[in-house]
Formats: sequence, structure tokens, C-alpha cells
Amino acid sequence: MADPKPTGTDLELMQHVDGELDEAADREVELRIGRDPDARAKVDALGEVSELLRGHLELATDAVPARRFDQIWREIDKQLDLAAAPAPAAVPAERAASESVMMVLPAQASLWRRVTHWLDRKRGYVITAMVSAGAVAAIALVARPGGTGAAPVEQAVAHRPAELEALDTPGGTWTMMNVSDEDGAATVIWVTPEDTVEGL
Amino acid sequence: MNRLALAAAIAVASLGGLRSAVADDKADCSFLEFTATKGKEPAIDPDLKPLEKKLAHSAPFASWNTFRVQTKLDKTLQKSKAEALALKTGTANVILRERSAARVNLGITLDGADGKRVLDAKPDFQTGDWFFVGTSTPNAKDDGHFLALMCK
Repeated sequence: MADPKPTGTDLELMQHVDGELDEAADREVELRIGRDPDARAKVDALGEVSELLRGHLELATDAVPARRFDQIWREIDKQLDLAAAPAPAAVPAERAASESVMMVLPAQASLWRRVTHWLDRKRGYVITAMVSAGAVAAIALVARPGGTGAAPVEQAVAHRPAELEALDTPGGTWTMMNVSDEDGAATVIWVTPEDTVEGL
Repeated sequence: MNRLALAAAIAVASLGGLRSAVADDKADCSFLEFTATKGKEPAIDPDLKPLEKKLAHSAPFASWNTFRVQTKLDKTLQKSKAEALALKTGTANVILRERSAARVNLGITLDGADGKRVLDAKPDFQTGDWFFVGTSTPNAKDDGHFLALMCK
């Protein structure tokens, strides 16, 4: 009955298939494969198994979404941070729970480090929020009533003449006139008393 | 996508704040009571200089050439709070009904020297624009009596 364990020679065949032998040893194995049909069959079989395994691993890798890789890298970074940090002191359970958001870093990590770490993780959100807030602040500064920048904004908005929601002139009739020149617009309500024979 | 939604939420919230900031509950208003007469030489009171072009060339002012300020007032109107204006001829009351960044909505009453109501109006006009109400003077039908106001 043949020994199921790989012999020293079988091990060499495996190393040959995996390209792990040095040049001299590899040459020797190739000579043996040329002479020994059994060794040739073993090498072919090992080659097929390696190819199958490699193909399977490549397919499995393709199936992992890119963000999973991001997560893996973050985990690695986290482990590196933990390894670099001094051993954490005992943290009460309730404190640990309350700091769950910050638990990526050791409990005694400095506040600045925690903040920068959080900013690093939320960089995209923070930049977007800052840009939005800046734009809105600029609009607010320019558009505020009575501010120095009010005029350009109001000029940009289409001018609407005065409108009258209600007008009552008990003692006469009225006429409305809109006046406009380079100094701006104006509206005039002229009331002609009833006892006036001739109006304007 | 989440980032876009967050930015949109911030923008909407900020614009809401902006809207409330400009939708103030007060307005700074200037009031000018003036007479318009026909004289030998044109004359415009220095306080009316900002309105000089309108007074010189536009109806109904072009009917006169002499303009004299009777009363000049600056008031900050608070929303829904009536302000009485002591005029040289008659009285006026004004109330800020609504305002936005660009417009004011006022209630104005104007009573003649005899106490009779001349006008009761609710105009809505652009901030920075002048709004005039005028009538002929009781004793000189050819002369004009105006109240001009402008709010910011």
C-alpha cells in the first residue's frame, strides 16, 4: 500500500508547481518529470488543482463590493491605531457605552485625536456642509435689508410697482400714477376733492 | 446620495433662517410732508433733492415748480403698531402690516386740517421706492399738499 503522505519528492513536485524551488532544484525536478510518467501525472494534477483554486479565489474577490474593501482597510487602520496606542486603562461599562461613537479609538485618546479622526471619517459631509453654509451666509450678508449689499440684490429681482390692496377716498376721487427715472420708482395717489370743478 | 441629501437639508434649513431674517417685523421709514405751488422761479427744498427729477418732470408734480417741506420725520415702524404723524396740515396714521426683504405693506390714513378723512389706503410697494399721497389744499385749490414716504 502506497504511503498517502507526500514524500520529500512529492513535496518538491508541489514546490515546483508553485514556483518555489531555486533554479538548480527546479532543473532536477524537471529532469525527473521527463523520466518519470508518474511524476508527470502528479504535476499535471497539481497544476489543475492550483488553477481551479486560483479561479475560485478570483471569482470570490470580484464578488466583494468596493466598499467592503474600504471597510477592510478601515479595520486594518483601526488595528494599527490600537496597536500604536498605549494599553487602554479600564473603562467603566457605562462610559464605554456612552462613548460608543468614539470607540474606534482607545478611550484615553486625546479629544483632538478623536475629533480629527471623526472629521477624517466624515470629511465629505463636513466639506459639503461648510460649502453650503458658506454660500448661504454669503447670500444672507448680501440680501439683508438695509445692508450695504441690499441694492444689487434688489436690482436683480424684477421691480414690481406699488399695488393697492384697498383705497378709500371719502371726500373725492383718486388717480394713481407710477413714476420712474434713474433715481428709482415712485407711486403717486392724487385725491381730487369732490368740490373741485377741475381736477389735474 | 446621502451627502447630497444632507447638503440639501442644510441649504433648506439655512434658507429658512435667511427668510426669517429678512422677513423682519419692522421697517425704517422716512416721511416728508411738502407743499407744491407755482412760483416765479423754480425752487426745491434741499430735503427734496432725492426727488428732484421726479418733481421737475413727472406728473402730477410738473404742474408746479416750487416745493417746500413742511414736516420731515424718520420712524421705525413696528409690525401691527400704528404710528401717528403730526403734520403741519392735518394728521396721518401709518401702520406696518407686512414686510419682506423687498416690499412693505402699509396701512395709511390721511386726514385734512378740518379732521375729515381724505384717504384710507393699504399700499404694498417696493422697499426704497417712494409712495406719495396728495391732494389740493383747501384754501388754494391750485396748490398741492403731499405726504411722501419711503421704507427700507
